[in-house]
Amino acid sequence: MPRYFEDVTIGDELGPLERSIDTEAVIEFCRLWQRELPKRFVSLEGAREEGFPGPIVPAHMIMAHLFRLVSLWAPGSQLRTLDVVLRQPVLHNQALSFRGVVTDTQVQDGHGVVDLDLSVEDPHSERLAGGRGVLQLPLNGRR
Amino acid sequence: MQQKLQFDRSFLGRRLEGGVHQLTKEMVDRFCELFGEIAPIYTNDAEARRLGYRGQLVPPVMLSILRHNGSRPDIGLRFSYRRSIHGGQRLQVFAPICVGDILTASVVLKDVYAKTGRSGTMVFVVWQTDFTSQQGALVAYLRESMVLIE
Repeated sequence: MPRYFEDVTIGDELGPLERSIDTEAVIEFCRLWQRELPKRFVSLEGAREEGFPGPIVPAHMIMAHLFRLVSLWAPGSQLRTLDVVLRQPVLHNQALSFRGVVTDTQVQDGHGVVDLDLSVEDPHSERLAGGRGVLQLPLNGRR
Repeated sequence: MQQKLQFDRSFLGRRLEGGVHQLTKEMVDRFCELFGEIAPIYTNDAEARRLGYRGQLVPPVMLSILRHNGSRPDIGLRFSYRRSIHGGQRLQVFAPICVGDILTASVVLKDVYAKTGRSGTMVFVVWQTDFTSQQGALVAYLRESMVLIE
């Protein structure tokens, strides 16, 4: 069931999508790259050699989970923009909360366009990543 | 505080080949399974067609995988750093991408700059990968900032 533009108002919340990304998931994701697994993503020693306390989650996995948050909220919507700023490395098995809030809605060229503020937080509500999304939603003509 | 960096400036703005790529159904299905993506437009060809698309769609964030399958040149940056981290990325999508589409990537070095703060000097290297469809249309770009920490 699609989410229509007319059903969205500024302040609507997305999520939270609670996730903990484990080593197995990171390895599987890295395999999709079809390249040698970067050590900092998959091994404690490799990560420490590069100055991290433990293996870290690839930034693209954070982005992919933010996309999943958006897709869960508005199945069938079209992503126009996903802009993510990473504030600190995310470690394996770290509890993460992916959230969003609608910050603007407008009709552009016959399409419903929604702006989102996005964040990734740890259990202490510390913001590990933040960003912005722009989505195109279908119109149902009710507004 | 900005400082003058030494690197091969001829790379700035120069378009480099990033390879020709195809996202297969197998790759898209694996990606969707990994992230729990169940939206029919990304998992079901018939449903995507019913909704007016050319076929099963590729979750656009998968373009980051194509970027990683292409290499970037050494720009000769003269900066000694302890580690590098991903500072951020911007994905801009202009048109839906379907399973089986053939995308040509090209890579441009957009910017290289330094910032010095309380924790030392950091150098930001910004690359952009443009993806063009088999029809020659720009369908998306991915801009990424790598941060090198002194």
